[in-house]
Amino acid sequence: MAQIYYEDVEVGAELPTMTKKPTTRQLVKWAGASQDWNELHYDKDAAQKGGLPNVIVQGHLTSSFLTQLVTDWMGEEGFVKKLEVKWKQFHFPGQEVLCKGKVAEKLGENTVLVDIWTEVDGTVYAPHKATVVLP
Amino acid sequence: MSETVPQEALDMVGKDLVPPLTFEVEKGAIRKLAEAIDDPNPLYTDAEYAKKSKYGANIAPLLMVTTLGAPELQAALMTKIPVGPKKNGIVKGFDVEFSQPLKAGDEITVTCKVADISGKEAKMGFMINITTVREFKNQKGEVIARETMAAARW
Repeated sequence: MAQIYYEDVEVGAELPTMTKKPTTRQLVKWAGASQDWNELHYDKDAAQKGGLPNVIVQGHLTSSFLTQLVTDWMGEEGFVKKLEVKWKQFHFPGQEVLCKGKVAEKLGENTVLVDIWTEVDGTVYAPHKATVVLP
Repeated sequence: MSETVPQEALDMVGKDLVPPLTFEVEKGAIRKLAEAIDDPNPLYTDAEYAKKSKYGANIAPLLMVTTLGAPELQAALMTKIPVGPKKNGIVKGFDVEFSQPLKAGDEITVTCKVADISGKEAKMGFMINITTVREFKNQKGEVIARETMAAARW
């Protein structure tokens, strides 16, 4: 895994975009691994009874896509000190979810603030922020 | 008279929403979570690789720690706070501060308190906003993560 250093980071620099295409199989794997058995994530009938067109991607799974984006970028010597999570819209299986990020601020003491978000067809679904300590 | 937050709900501020729970973090559970994300980072799954890293053991994907006790928290948000006849609930978001990674073999105790409750008129009706704080301590009593979650009932 490549290593990035604080002194090399510039405000406005983009993280390499990562693409995810969640499947219902993946949602069930996450349900089992996280022990979150909310039916809205694997039972289409239950989701439709709740007014949704289909099962929805777990918020924590969406956020984990974004933390993968950050941990891949920061390298093994980096450390995520804080994560701020917001979900604006549900993701659905089959969507092509772009995970994007941009360095928002250099905070000093080897710490950077990174804006990270998921996007489908140009619309932002889950805007997060990560505070990352770099070597 | 406009709607207000029931006193019984306000009385929960500062109290445990979920009693402390303890979880043992197994290597296999970390692997399953990493596979569910489809994150091939060898720190999560390759024992030999992780042994040579600065962590000395497999660590977990960042948010695994917050999945510990999460179903209990979700259930308590819907059943343990006396909000009157409000059927709907949603988690709006959360912040997590991390001080060290979750590692294979850790024994994590999760505590969950109600930090704040307030009411607000919204488009969907009178909403009760609930803030919870969860602390995740390892077997040495060190806080490895602290989560502040914003939820609402209406």
